[in-house]
Amino acid sequence: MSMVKTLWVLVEGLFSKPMTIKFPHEAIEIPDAYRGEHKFDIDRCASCGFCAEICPNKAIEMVKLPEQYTQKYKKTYPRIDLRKCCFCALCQDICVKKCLKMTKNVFLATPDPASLIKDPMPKVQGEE
Amino acid sequence: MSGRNIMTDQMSGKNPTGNEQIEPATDDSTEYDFYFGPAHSGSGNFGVKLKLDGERVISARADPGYLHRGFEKLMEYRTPIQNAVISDRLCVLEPLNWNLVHAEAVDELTGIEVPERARYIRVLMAELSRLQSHIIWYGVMSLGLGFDTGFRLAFGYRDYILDIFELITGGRCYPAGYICDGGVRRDLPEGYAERIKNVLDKIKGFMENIKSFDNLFFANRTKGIGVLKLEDAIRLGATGPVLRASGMKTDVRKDDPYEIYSELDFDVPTEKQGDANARCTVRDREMEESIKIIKQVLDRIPEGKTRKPSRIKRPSRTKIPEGEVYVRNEIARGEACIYMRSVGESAPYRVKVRGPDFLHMIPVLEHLLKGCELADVPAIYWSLNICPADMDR
Amino acid sequence: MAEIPQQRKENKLIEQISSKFEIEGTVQRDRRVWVTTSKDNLIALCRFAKRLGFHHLSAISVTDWPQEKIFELTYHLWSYSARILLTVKTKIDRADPKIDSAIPIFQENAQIHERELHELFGVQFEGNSDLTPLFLEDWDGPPPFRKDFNWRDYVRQKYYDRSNEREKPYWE
Ligand code: SF4
Ligand code: SF4
Repeated sequence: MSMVKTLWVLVEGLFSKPMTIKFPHEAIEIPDAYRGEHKFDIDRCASCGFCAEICPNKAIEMVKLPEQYTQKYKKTYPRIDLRKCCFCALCQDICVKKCLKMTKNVFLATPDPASLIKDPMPKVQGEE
Repeated sequence: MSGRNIMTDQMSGKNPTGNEQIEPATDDSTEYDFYFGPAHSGSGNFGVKLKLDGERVISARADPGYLHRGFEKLMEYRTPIQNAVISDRLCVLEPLNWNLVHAEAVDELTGIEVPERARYIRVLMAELSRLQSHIIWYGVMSLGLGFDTGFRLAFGYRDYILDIFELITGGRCYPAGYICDGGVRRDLPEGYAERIKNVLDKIKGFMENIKSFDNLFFANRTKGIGVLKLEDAIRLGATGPVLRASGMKTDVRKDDPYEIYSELDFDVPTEKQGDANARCTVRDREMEESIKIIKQVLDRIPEGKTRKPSRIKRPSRTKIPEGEVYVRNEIARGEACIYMRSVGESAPYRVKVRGPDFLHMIPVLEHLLKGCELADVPAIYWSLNICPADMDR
Repeated sequence: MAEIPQQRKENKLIEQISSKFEIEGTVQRDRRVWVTTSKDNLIALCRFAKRLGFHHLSAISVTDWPQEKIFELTYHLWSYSARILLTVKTKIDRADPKIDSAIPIFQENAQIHERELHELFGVQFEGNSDLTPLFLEDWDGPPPFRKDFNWRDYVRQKYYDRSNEREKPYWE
């Protein structure tokens, strides 16, 4: 009897929709709470350094900006090394100014590891 | 003979033809050493050295250490909220349960009154995590018994629960210390109850299916195999489902209640035989109990705050009051404990993590494998539902 | 059967033990009893506790106190019948960390815990014949979980590959 039922379940499986999806063409929806790549809003940052202090992996370092920006942004700002980051979102939770946000971007695989260091001013490298 | 060669190939990935013979014995001797693991998809990063005589296991010796990351030491350098993130990694398969153990240890030291809503969320997540862990167990157990359909089904259905975790904690596998000291890190999102109920319906369908498989694929491979008698189980330090399958009615959630478990209504399934099949049955029935608990929690969950204090404190401002605690929790695999000693600094002075698998994987496994047939090794191994992560730490 | 109030059970347990041994006992909360005893009494106390129903050795832990020059050992015992966790604490000399093994009482369960602690703290459990390392292969440093072991220096000396540019930011 159970044999029949098992066979039934297995045959049923042949005709039901697959549980997987064809990834590059479609993707499952990522919820808003997802902890992906960081987004940093430099204009709101108070340079308090709390994010660097709480990061369990010491992935955040407070750095000075290059010359051309020091006029406007005099203090130090967080540089995030995504190679060390474990995406725990503690930096987002502790930031009083809400300028560090985790986005839904999960496509971080890259052949160039250096590109995973997020400078506070993203344009810097491109301009040189 | 060829059957054995295939097994060897699959399990150790090593050349089975004679190279493994460490001590070349006399010509007519059939004794040889056999490596089960440490690089196999099901065994985890863990090996067992078996001494075989023909097809019979004479003795077994566990070979742990492939996953040792020194968490106990790491935790001495970090504050509780950072440790909560680390406590995820104590077991890949049930991070939320370990989050809860850690959070409770810190709560008991600081004496913070956790908000009511947070307590409910904690139990909700812990039970979902237990359910998810049991489903993985079903998957690897089927894989071990050569029933690939069960493996694929289980991992497919597990992903529905991972969707819930993603929705609530922001990560599929690792919740990043979602359950932290003082409560939980963020409130439940909108529409969570419907999503969870939908998933539970799907899981129920899955459980019906696996019940119909049981007789065909499980029973004849597991009945009477790896019998663990009750007195052996207690002596060897078995806990959780393994102990319950040997006939002891005990559950930390009932005997030493934590969070809101004393207010919830659920059974503790036990079996008498103590064999691999009994362990499977106990887990099957535990899944049903977990679903029962989740439903009750969803019905009763109150409104209110989710963490006290609501903001995360800077490490330099945190302080754990002096003291020492020992908390026990029931996780999917058994009894999980943390001993925490604090001297009033921002980081704990000493943390001792006691995982259930430390005893299941070394003394219990060695005891059960002794004298069994080689073909039964996977059935025994996976019926214990072991994972090296919380043993090696 | 009339249930004895939980708190009274714990107080009774302390009374029972202190009638036989010299201990300092406290009831921390429901189901948690902590007693401190001397090194010589430990095994006898554990045996007595087992007779009272504490069959399950949940864990053994060591805490290192380099300043006081002691190791503090804690044995966590659980009773399935009384539903109490009894923690037995004792202190041993850090320079000569020797203590009798609990194998005669808790057999394999104690054996494996002691094996772990021997590796991580260097405590000698006398009477335990199998203290081979569990986790660390080819380890030549001091026991790694002691407080005075500087893991950063050790790793830097032993594993830092100076020719590898990518490791620089971690160590320089
Ligand atoms: S990102 Fe936020 S936490 Fe970090 S320095 Fe700026 S204001 Fe402070
Ligand atoms: S997400 Fe966590 S690990 Fe990553 S930078 Fe922020 S605090 Fe550090």
